[in-house]
Amino acid sequence: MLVERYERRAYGIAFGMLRNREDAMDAAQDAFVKVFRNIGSFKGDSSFYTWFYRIVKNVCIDHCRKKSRAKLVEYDETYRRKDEDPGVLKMSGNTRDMQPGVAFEQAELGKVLNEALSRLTENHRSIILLREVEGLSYEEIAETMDCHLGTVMSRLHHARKNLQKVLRPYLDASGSDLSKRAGAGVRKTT
Amino acid sequence: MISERDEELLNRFIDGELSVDEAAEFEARLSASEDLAAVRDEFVQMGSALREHVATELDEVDFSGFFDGVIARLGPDEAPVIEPAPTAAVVETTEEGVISSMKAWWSNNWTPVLVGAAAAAAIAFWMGQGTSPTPVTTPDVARAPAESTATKSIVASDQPREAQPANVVVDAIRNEGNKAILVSQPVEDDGAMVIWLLDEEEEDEQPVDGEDPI
Repeated sequence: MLVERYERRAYGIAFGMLRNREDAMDAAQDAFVKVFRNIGSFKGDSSFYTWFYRIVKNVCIDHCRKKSRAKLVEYDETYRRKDEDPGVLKMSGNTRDMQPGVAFEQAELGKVLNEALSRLTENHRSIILLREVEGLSYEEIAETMDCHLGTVMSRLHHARKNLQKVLRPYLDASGSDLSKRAGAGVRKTT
Repeated sequence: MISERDEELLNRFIDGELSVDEAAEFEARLSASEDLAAVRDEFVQMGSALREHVATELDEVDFSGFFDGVIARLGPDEAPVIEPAPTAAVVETTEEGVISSMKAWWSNNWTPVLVGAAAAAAIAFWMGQGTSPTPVTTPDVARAPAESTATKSIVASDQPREAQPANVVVDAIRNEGNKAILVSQPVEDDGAMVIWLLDEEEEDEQPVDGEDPI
């Protein structure tokens, strides 16, 4: 069933944008209502997920407007908030004193990641989640976010750099699982 | 020092977006630069942590009422229609359906029927000179709607059936002598049970003493 198949993804997208569980659940359900009402307008020119993602995103934007939370910050490569410096993110708790490697085993990491994600611009947050969590290719991301491949690469690079600045104290250079993906960077279709 | 070009290639390498040649070239760069390899490791570890984090968060969310919540937001005419899959043969009960199926069956089978009837008549004439032959075929449930004029009786029903009832799902079929009885339950469950008698009960024709039963 459509809802069962996409409810987690809808919620994930919504939570990535709204950063609030209740709002995300609300928006995800509203998105499915829109899907049911507009399924006839889906012509199959793009993948269903692309179409679906845009609906969820638009619902989240509407949701923000209604609630006047204005959490969304449209990203422009030439524009950056002057006070935005992910490197000086205020952490909750004394997590910086943790030993590298141990930190990733702690529940505290969830808070750190949430906070780090919340400090990213909406576009950076979306693109890093589409790539790392949804596993979309650059081409699919470009289609989903309606932007050029170059923009995808640029945003992804900046998103990673910003996350890296925040998370560096918790990154374990000796992580044993890292070698598994090393060398896996070859594009399948050449 | 990591160049911008290396950073761009690093992202594409991690994401599997390099060609074979580019990847081979970049792996050589990774082997030569500890700094670059360290950044690669950090980016990869961030991705793993993100995936794990999101999956954990989603596991904590209760989606059991999600579908009902969606339906509740839809209008009464907007809810998606869920049709049960057919579980048994559907018998057309409308008069038009029976007639059309009879016509279709006749158009496909008139030749063997006529040949069979002629042969039976010839054998009867030769054997008994005027005795009635035993029916060549027995009632066949699968072909029954086309071969016989069905008579139906409705039992255990509190409400009169509509003139043209909906399709009926056959729940059980059993044979009793010359009768094939189909026990059915209407798709729209109104509590009525329908029993179809596909053939009129025929009187057993006992052969006259001394007469060949064939």
